[in-house]
Amino acid sequence: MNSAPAFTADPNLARYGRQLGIAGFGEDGQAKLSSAHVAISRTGGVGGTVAMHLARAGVGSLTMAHGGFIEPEGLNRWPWAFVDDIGKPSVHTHAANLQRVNPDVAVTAIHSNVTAENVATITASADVIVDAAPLFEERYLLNREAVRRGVPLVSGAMYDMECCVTVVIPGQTPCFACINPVKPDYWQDIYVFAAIGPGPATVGAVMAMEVIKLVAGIGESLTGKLWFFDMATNVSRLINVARRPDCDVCGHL
Amino acid sequence: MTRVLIPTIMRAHTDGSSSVEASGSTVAEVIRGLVEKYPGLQPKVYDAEGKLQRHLLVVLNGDDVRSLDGTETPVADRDELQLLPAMAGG
Repeated sequence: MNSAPAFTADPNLARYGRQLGIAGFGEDGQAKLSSAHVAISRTGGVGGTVAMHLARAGVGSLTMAHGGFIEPEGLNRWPWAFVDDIGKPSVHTHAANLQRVNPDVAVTAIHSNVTAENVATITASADVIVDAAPLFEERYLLNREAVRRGVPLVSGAMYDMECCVTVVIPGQTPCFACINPVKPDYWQDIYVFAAIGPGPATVGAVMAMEVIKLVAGIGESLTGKLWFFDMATNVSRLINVARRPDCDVCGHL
Repeated sequence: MTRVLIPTIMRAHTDGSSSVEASGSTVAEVIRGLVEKYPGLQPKVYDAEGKLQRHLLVVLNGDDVRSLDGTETPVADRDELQLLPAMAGG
């Protein structure tokens, strides 16, 4: 039997043995991650990927909000969509699979999308808010709540084969509304965008890494940056984004 | 000439090209030159009042032009301009 790399002598950390060797992470980073609470809005292709990686990495607790059910059109990209689960509430299916991956993670599944009425409850006590919603209305609500509470927001999205991720530190960096003061008028529902698995999976993986870096205090964050990647052309850019002094969400900070 | 990165949603109006060239001495002029060259871009780039669509992030050499002089920012040859519409797909 092969032995794992000796990044820890603690048998309780064996399942994290490989990541404990990440530069700067170690047992201290693992302890920070294990005590962190992350709230995720929507657990489809992007958010489901974030949840999967955070559960595998050993985040302390996850609150996941997603209305709707497993549908055939999600099978091409959702990490926890299976044919025999079609018709079931997707967030509960996701939560059950996450518990199989890592039973030490406390998972709260809310079968509802973010609304003005529930956003404070869904994100309450979260150390980081993850915005993976496919509608701008939900994204603006999450951003406003993150700014109100002064909690970091990791926001990511895709369109076709294009990917974007940014990290908001309220009062210090541009918020989501600084970068996107208005939504495109063509973005009327969740069916406006085409998607194929690697796109949302890439966005979700980058977002999960940003959460881990924020919590553990390692690496360089996408704060004040918008990471753009066009998988169709392999063009990637790290865009310096700017705060708007007249932003009605964070301009007062 | 300035290289302009074209987002996916606009490529139907640039003969499928993801990168084209346009001329002008400011960001606004380059964008105007782009739309003159590819008139189908007009409603994607400008609103009904002829103003730049507010959901477009305009990026010059990696910087949001709002942190520079906006669309009046001077543009030099070999600069790269990127038009990036807001997206929310998940």
